[in-house]
Amino acid sequence: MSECEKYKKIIESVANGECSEADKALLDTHVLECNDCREELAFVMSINETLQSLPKMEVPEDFLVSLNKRLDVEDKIKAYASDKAKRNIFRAWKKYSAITACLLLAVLVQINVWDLPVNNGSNDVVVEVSDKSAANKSVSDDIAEAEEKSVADVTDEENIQTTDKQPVDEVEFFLEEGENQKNTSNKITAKAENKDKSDGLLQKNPVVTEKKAPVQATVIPKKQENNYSVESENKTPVVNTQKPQSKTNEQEVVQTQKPQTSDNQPLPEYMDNKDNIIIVPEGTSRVNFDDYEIVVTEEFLEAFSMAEMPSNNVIVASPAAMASIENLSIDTSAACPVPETNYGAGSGSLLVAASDVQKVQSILNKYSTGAQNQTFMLTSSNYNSFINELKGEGIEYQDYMIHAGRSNVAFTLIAS
Amino acid sequence: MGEKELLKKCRQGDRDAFNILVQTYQRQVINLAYGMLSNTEDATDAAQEVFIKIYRNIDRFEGKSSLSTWIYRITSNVCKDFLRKRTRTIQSISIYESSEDDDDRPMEIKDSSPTPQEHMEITETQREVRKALDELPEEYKSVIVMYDLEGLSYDEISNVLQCPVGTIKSRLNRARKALKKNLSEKRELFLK
Repeated sequence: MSECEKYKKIIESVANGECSEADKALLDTHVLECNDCREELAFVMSINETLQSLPKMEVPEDFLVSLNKRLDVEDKIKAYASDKAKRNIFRAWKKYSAITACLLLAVLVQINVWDLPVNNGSNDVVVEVSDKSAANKSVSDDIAEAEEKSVADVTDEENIQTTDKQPVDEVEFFLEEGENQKNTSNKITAKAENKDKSDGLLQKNPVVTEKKAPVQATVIPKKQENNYSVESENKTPVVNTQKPQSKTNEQEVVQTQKPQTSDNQPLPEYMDNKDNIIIVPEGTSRVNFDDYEIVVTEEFLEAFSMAEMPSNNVIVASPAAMASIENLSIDTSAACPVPETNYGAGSGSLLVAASDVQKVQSILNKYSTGAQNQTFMLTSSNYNSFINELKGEGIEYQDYMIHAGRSNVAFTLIAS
Repeated sequence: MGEKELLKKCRQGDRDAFNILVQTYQRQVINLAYGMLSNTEDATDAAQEVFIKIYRNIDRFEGKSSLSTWIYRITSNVCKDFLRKRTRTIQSISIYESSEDDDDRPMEIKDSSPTPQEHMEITETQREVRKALDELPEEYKSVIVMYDLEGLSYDEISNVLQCPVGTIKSRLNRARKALKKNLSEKRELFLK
């Protein structure tokens, strides 16, 4: 590099404002002797000075005014875009809410269609409670006698009212009467309640046709303990009257009303001052209604779900039954699950020849998950295995109302 | 009113506050644009465009850089767009221009050269420097305008152009060389 090339680099650093004092001094000395470097330095410095002296542009007087006019247009565009967005959202909302409403309606109809009542013209819900057993079963004479005895033991604290003016708490409970129970069906009547009390769970005009398949509840007085016998000639399961262990104070709620028989005769006193509806799907649980057991059928449950039950009704059911009850939108807040060991009188009965009872019992012992007196509980798959083994053994049987599709199957073994 | 308060009001749609912001920065914006575009009309249009962009995007300013840096950055980008449009227009016109036409100016585009008034107000050296500056590539022009015309520091230019300081220094050095080369034919004018 020639000496001048070196000084021209220093000149560049001077133009960039990055020349050190030492280099500046050297350059000042050199330019005194070198015309080319002196002219180069002058040229570069002049360009810099000219750049820095270039006149500034003045802001036009109408700059702000014209800018604001354009900003007004911007605001209008923004407002339009916002309105358009809102319109689009509204259109979309209308469209999708209509679709959602239709879907919701379809779902509600689907849910409610199972429970659609048949209007019988009155606000009363009458549910026939009849003996669940399809066979010609009737309450034994012993039971009838025991019922009469237990009437006197019951304290009448509240009256069961049956007039139309009474609130929904009214429950009319008809009892089967001995051998004539086939001809006398018990009815449970629940009057329609003001919808204000319904908690949204009840229906305005709940109706259940009286002519539907009769739903029976069997009331067994407490003193019938240990009366159950496989060898009952009446083929009637006499159920244990043990109270469910889980019974709590929550079960004792609400006013009771004086039930009536079908011919409008007052029910026995033991029906007074009782808890209101205790709904239990038969075969899954057994409930003590004070000192009495009430076993209701699923039909009853289904029918009664249409009633405008007071919110303080008590529902006692097995854990399995609770799920089905909840699906019916019944207030289960006060429900008291029955321990699974409390078997119902059986979702059905299994009749076998008296000579086969012992063999059947031994087979049952292999498959049942529990037994109470002659009521057995099996899982659904075990029940199928049990039946298959019966068939394999050549044991003839008849099953009545055994719901084999459930996760747990319970039935009473009866010697025919 | 402090800058934060001003920005807050601008974000709330306060037009008066925005006008204050415009009046605070309009001179820097318009002169940066003028330095880049060498034309008062283009500089005014570009400056308005800058403030409209600021108005639209004030909510997006997060405060990571200073407000002036942000505004300079927008101005630099708007001017780049203007220069690109100008270049494309000149090129498209020139394709169809008759070869017999010695006039270098495109017939149907806006004349971006200094106005007659501008010619009167500046010296010959200033005019030549302005012309030579205008001939520089955009990346050289921007650093010279920001450093020499607007007096921004290396750090400020680095923030505006989002380049390292070393890159800015290097670019500035090359820009001066290019400017000197463009003015080499007029050397005598600067040595008077």
